[in-house]
Amino acid sequence: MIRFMWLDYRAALRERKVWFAVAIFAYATLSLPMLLAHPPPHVRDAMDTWFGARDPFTLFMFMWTDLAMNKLIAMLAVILAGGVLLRERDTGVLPLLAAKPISLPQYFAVRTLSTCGVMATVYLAAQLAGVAYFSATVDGFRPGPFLAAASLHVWAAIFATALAATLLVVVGRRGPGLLVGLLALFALVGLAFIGFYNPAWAALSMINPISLGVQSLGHLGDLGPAVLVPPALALAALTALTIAVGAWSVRKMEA
Amino acid sequence: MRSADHSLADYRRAELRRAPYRMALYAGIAGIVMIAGCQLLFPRMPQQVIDFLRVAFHLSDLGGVVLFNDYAAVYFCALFVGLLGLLDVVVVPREEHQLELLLSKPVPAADFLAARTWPVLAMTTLVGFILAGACAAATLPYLGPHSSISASGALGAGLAMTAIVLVQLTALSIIFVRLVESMNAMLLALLVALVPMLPSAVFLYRPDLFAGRPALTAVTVLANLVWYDATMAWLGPVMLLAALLCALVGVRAGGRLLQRSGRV
Repeated sequence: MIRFMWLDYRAALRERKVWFAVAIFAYATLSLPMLLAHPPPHVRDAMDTWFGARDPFTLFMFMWTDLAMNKLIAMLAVILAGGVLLRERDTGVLPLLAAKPISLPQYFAVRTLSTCGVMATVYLAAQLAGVAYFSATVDGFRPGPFLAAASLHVWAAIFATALAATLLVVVGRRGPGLLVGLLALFALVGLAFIGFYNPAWAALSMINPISLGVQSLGHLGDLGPAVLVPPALALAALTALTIAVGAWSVRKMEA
Repeated sequence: MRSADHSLADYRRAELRRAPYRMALYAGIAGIVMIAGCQLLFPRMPQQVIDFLRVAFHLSDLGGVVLFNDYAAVYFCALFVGLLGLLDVVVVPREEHQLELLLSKPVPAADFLAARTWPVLAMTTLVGFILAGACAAATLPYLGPHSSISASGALGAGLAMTAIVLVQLTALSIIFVRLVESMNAMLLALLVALVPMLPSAVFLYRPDLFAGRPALTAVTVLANLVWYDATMAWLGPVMLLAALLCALVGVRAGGRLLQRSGRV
């Protein structure tokens, strides 16, 4: 199983859609300094209200997370997970897989985990490239908090990938499945910061997994294990649960 | 000839029966829930959030802020129905190896495409109409002598959003004729879907780029649907009619492309 997952991960990394993911991350990285160049006063005031800081780095992190990374993980999760299991069924490969010593739920779990691995790889590579680029182009950029925040948000990206794969097999058809995944993820992403906008809803917003992934933005001055580990663990558990739901739903899938 | 016409009419009726009615119903309900959600959420948001959106998008009052978000619901729900239906026209049948079978019937490829595409566009328009009506209803608590919005303006703006979606779907329906995988279709649809939203995001963070360019701002920033409320009351229906005419031409072009390509 581990060997299969490794081989699938390596094969997935060579797919065309991964290059699309790389291109779109590169576009986000290159365009952000332009958007950040002259923030209007109302945006700086909003940072002070929502995150308790009006320094340029807080604004940068908000834009990087909300405008770029959150939207990209929603889109890329659907794109990367778009072929899990249903492509095998639609291309008639499923009967061949049935002859292998691996059940469909196991197959789904392995494929989804390797897709999550691809998402994490591309995501973290983008953050590392971002450190190099932003250190040279963004005033007040702080690599330490940037990477610490990414170490939590990458779990939101992994969860998004698992959710997209599971919704795809639950819906059962590729086109509608992709769209339902997209709608669900954009709804979660759209509400990710609502606990910051209205502190009265902060506790309730924790039911949204993407909100868990952006919690570091409220603690950029004191990021440490106490801030990062609990939401990361919650996201890892939610990812495992989501994959289990997907595996359960494919147990009776017919070729 | 007469019997061939009858048979084609029967075929069109058969395709009409498999229009995405259920998905249109779900999208309509989802849109109404979103619009109702905006109606409930925004008045309960802290004043700083409302002021931020008001200042950032040059909106005069809470009604304008609520409507600006309502129009996004019209856009995404109408687009959702249309995309879902369009994928089922050629791309998914081709991917599932059913297109050859479907095109083997004595129905010209152009008629096949039109018979499958028009019900999708009709459902999209219907969802747009219903949600535009919901936007008009959403203005009622905010109407008054100093209000920046009106029910007729909101209805027109909802129809204008629907028109934008119809133009996007028409363009996609032509391109989808040549696509083999729903994944590629989705990628393309995603990029097309984001295009109308990008200038508004830039306007939020870099309003200086729009300074001194009133025409560019008026055309590209989606808050224009609120800014020009009175104009939208008549411009929205006109835009919808123009979009339907554009769809007429586009579906024919797509049909010719499918016929010419002979590609299954």
